[in-house]
Amino acid sequence: MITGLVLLVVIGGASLLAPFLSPFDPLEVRLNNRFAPPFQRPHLLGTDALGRDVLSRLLYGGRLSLLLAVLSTLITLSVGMLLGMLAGYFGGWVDGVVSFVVNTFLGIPDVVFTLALLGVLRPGFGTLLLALNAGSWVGLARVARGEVLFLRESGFVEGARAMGAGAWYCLLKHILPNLFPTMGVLGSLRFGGFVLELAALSYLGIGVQPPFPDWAVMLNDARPYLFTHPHLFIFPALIITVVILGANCLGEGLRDALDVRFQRGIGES
Amino acid sequence: MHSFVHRRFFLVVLWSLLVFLLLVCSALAQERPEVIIAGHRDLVPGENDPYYTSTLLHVWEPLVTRDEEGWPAPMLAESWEVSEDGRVWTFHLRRGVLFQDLTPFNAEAVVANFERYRRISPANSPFYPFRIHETYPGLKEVTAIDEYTVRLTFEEPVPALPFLMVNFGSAMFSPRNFREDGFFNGFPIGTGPYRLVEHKKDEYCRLEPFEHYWGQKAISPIRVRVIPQAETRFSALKAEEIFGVIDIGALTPALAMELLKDERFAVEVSPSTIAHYLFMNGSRPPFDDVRLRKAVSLAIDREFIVRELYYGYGEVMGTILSPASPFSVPLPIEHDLAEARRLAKEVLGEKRVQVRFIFPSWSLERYPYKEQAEYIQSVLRELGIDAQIQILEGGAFNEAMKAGEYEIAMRNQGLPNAEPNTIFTWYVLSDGAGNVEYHLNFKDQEADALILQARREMDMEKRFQMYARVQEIAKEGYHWIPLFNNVDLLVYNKRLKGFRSLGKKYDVTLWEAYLE
Amino acid sequence: MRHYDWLQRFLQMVLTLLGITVVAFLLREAIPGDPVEILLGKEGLFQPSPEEVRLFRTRFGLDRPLFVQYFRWLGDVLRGDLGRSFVTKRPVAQEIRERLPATLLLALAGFSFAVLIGLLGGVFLAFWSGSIVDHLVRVVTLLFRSMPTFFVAVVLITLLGERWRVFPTSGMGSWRHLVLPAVVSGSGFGILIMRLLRTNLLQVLGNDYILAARARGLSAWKVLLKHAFPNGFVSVLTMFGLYLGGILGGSPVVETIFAWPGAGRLLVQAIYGRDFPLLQAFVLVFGVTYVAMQMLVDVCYFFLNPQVRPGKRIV
Repeated sequence: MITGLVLLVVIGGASLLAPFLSPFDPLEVRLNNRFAPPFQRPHLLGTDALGRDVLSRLLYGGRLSLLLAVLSTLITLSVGMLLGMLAGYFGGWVDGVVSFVVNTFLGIPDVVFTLALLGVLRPGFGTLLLALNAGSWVGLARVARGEVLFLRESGFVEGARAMGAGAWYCLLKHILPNLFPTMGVLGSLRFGGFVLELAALSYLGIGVQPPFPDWAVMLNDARPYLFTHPHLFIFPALIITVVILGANCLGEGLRDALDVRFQRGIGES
Repeated sequence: MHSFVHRRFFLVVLWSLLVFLLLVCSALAQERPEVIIAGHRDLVPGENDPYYTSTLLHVWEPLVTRDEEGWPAPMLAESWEVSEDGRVWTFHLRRGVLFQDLTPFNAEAVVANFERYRRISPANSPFYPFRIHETYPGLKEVTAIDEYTVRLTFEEPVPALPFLMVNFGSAMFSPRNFREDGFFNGFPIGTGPYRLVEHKKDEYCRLEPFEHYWGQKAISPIRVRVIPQAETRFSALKAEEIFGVIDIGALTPALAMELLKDERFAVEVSPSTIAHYLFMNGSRPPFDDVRLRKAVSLAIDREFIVRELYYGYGEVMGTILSPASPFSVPLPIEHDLAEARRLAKEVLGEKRVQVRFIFPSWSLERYPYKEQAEYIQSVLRELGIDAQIQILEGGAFNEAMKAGEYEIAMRNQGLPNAEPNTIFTWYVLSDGAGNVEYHLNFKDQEADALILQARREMDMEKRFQMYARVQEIAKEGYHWIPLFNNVDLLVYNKRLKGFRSLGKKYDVTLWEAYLE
Repeated sequence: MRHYDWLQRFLQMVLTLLGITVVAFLLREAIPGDPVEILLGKEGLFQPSPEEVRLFRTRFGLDRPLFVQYFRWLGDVLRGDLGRSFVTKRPVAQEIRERLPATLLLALAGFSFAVLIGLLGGVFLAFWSGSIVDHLVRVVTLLFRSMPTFFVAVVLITLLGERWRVFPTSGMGSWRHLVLPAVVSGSGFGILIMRLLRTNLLQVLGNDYILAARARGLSAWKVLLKHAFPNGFVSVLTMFGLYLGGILGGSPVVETIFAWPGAGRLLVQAIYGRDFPLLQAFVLVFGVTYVAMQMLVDVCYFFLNPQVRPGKRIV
């Protein structure tokens, strides 16, 4: 878990400090220096198709990605967990309503949603956030609901209720902590998904517009040059992998941390 | 006993010889191996399409085709003449031609086909829509004068009829090939060197040589596979699962270059009518001022774009009419950054201006539009123009253009037929559809007069001059700025022989192809 | 009592299905661009005349108010008529029927691959948790998952198809054609399952009754399979339901890259080409599968633990 935190903080910090750290202007086009190979001065990671410094673009490229991915993951997790818990625990009409909404969202292809959003809203940060999150909380909600259905039948919940504990107490003390491990895994994988989805949205007109750099977009731009100039693909791919690795360590590490606490809790009751 | 053994021995030898001969014969008589090529889309849209297949597959033939210079040339019609007033066209048909169902091609068949045109028009197609009133404006009558002569009578003079009829405009099928509604009742039965024998939608189609073809017979059977992704076509070529590529966007310039590094491959460059343009919104500032539009045109180094982004595969254009048209005049291509800056300064002064630069996302699949746009953006920045690039989904892009919610739009445009009047009417005529709908706002009286006049001009020489003048005027308008003409890169395995591009005919010699 | 629950669920299903179709109808109106112009024009190559546009609109009832269009469509569907594609003019049912088997084949193959590596991998990693192998596998699998599908596909095609000629690079045909697309299609999900199962198993293994079972002398494997698995499997099961529910949508990306003639590609074409009848029918079929899958998952919950009954009220 520490590894994860360290990785993310380092990269996040670098992105934040990009204006100070980056050796070149990420937007500066130098047509006489296209496709400079990496590991040479002054462009340590080479240049791209328009002669722009890759290192600088990488430093700036994470700003929107990371912000959006972190925000989206938090939103998706909170909304998904909350609704899933409510549906799973209370059952009845609550489950009916939530499941109806969830299944409706799930039954419609994502592309339709995104395009419809495009038609109705102006491109902007809010639209971007909406586009990323509209469909992603539903899966989480269903998974959460499933786990809660099983958890509420477990011994300690019945015990707590027998002692007269209210619904919210049960939810918070017993059910929620048990959801963390699963949510940790799914959340961290979703985090990576958000980073990559940004590229697809950019090509639809929402999201990062050229010439601003973005990791996932840089990855896609490197497609035609996959065989000729692989460095254009490798560096953004590496950064994204490291970020996802960090998120994953963090997410799954949460399980370890909370598990110990939970164990102690069981011992007490 | 002795003679018995001898006879036995002799019989065995005889039999072996016979078997050997049979084997040899069957090996010789074996069909040529199937030539496998691939394209990014299914070239056989099917029964409910006006043509069933693309011309590229040579299953059907038109009355009039194009020669390698782009002029109308005889195909199923050997020759034609027109009356003095331009209203009556007489076509002399080729003799000795059979449809693939072995019925004769004659005037009766042609009349039946025209009858069909009336029934199906207007009809959509992924290639070109068929609209009878556009290809045969004011057609009154179609009559068979004798077995090999057909007469078309029009309400008004149509001086450029052959230009309009080229290829998709005059496809000929067997009269027994149609349903009541005019569409096909089965596989297409044309007169071409290939028969369509199998078709799996979006997967592949198979063509086999037609033994009774009137011209040069095809050598090998062909299988055309559908492989939507360029990188996959690249891999398939390298793995020798396919031996060539076909159709627009056969291979992207970057991939083609990479493939050509391999000794096994060569390329046939096929010019297309598709060219790239910048549409300038002339109905609002800042591009309502022609000087600024001119500055934009002057600032862009078209040679650089073609050389660097398209690896030299393309033809820079100074005129709005693609060089694939025989009426295209080579106007000078200007690149003058200093003059561009001066003009920009004149219009903007010290101020900077923000503009929206849009292009459709579907173009990214085939062309390096993103780099192209970013290059243009960097060049415009020096003029004091801050271009905001917006990649828009196809439908959203069209909407934006119609609503005039853009200042510069980049898109490609092809020629619907060989008659330039169509494209001039759209984009140069003051109330032309494209001009008005896309807010280009170009108005020139002389151009208007010329375009309308040329529609009735019978003298080819005079028309050529009129169209040349229209191009000059359009150029000075800088409202529809031409960048360069596209070419298709048909990379093929050298084991595939006889695979040649036919210049502006926009065709490939499939019938000559065979595998070594 | 139990039957009443399931009946209720079934009715909910139908309601949800209707909801899906209604929402789809509404959403398609929001999509930018005039669909008729997009259908008649061809990437801007041609301008349809206003007359043509009007004719098209009236012919297909696109000029009627939205709810009229919806009920007309619903009526047609109940009579078994899914309409004709705007683009190819063939019956929609035929279009979908032609392409669906290919997608199903690919999806099931991908799913099998995912389940294989997911379940095996998840169990093994739980067993070996904390070891070098665990960390190594984590890095490698996450590397895989952090690359867009496209790149994974191209790398596999280049290495296994082009260079080493083990598998064909594209198309559909023999079982060999299925391998690469299935691997690409299923690997992302497989990795998800692997990590999810691992975490869930470890979570359950930390419980007291597990320690008790071990103390009673049961072998580690038996503990894992008999006690840990059922409870640790819930989320994985839910994920299976979500994945299988969506298989009809296929993966347009995988299908495009591998030239696989499936329904996923058709769906994307229908959306971008504004082929409404095809799109609407797709949503219907898609919706049915999804909803059916969710119900199946709920049934499976019951088998894992008979106490679990979705919809049961808690006061």
